[in-house]
Amino acid sequence: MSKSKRRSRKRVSLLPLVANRCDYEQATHWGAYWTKWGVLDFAAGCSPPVPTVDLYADLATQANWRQQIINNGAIFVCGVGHGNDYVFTGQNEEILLDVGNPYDLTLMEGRYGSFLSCVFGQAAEAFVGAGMLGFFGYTDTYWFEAAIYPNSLATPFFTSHFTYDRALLSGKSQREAFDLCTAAYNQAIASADQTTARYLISDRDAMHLDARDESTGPYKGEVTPPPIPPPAPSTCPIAGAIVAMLNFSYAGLGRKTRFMAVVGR
Amino acid sequence: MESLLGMRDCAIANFTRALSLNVGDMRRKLLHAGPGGKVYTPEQVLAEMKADPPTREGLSLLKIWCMSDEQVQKEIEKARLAVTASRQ
Repeated sequence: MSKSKRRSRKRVSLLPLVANRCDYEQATHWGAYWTKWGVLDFAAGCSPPVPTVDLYADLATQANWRQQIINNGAIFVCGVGHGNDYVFTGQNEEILLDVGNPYDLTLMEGRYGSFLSCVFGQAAEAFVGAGMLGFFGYTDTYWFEAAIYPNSLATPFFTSHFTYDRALLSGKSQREAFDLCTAAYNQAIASADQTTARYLISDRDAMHLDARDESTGPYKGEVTPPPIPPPAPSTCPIAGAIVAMLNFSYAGLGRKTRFMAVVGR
Repeated sequence: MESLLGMRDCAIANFTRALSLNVGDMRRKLLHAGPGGKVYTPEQVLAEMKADPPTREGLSLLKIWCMSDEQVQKEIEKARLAVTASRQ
């Protein structure tokens, strides 16, 4: 490629991403932290920087979600929230996307998505069938271990997941991002103990990508990633301490989120 | 469901502890807690699950904890091989 072409490519104005960072209970509190680390901080370090819209906590409402996606012409939507087969939710389980709502199917037309939630990957086919360009999510309950906020035991779970988003932000295709994400989970499993490995295996096997063309991506070929990706927060081994086990589970309106604790690892 | 019978005591303890907080009644129906406790046959478990299906989270946990230690170790080894292969 000639220098002039390379220069002109750098001047390309990138379309923004919109991130759901609801934060209202334990699971989303952790997820919000890691979404900032995994997506927003990384996007800022890309060259050129990928513009972002951060829907944090009370900003993660349906009205804001729709408005920001439309007004900014977002090409990529992502983030964390409780979910089930049909919906992906924001602050206080406000529905952001509902596979049964024709408006939401249209809203996602021509966009890419990555959703860190339980089960919402089951809705991928419907969204892509309606014109979404790509949908990455999980088809089963998403588990992670947690100890001392925000890092420690949770690190391998979140760093594995956000490998997908970061790969897209680095200009990779959806297929390349999916394969890198699988490799990240494998890396985490390879160095995990038996208990942690069980949950990582479950999450890895629940990964699901549905795309109109897997060789495409929201920023394919347009972005150079940060020269040195920001390191993950330091880990804090806590053998023998209390281990919290959370899941991103939203089983229906009016139903409480589940929280589990496994004591005495 | 076959592997339910093969679960080791520690796995059963972990599973029932988590399950008791998650699904509550399923703990009593599926497994008696603690080493040496009675374990239902797969047929009994299936019958119970049909009669009173557990939540999705319960099923997910069931799947996770029904993997034997040997199965998990095999998965860890497979992951290590994949990591090694990707570096070559």
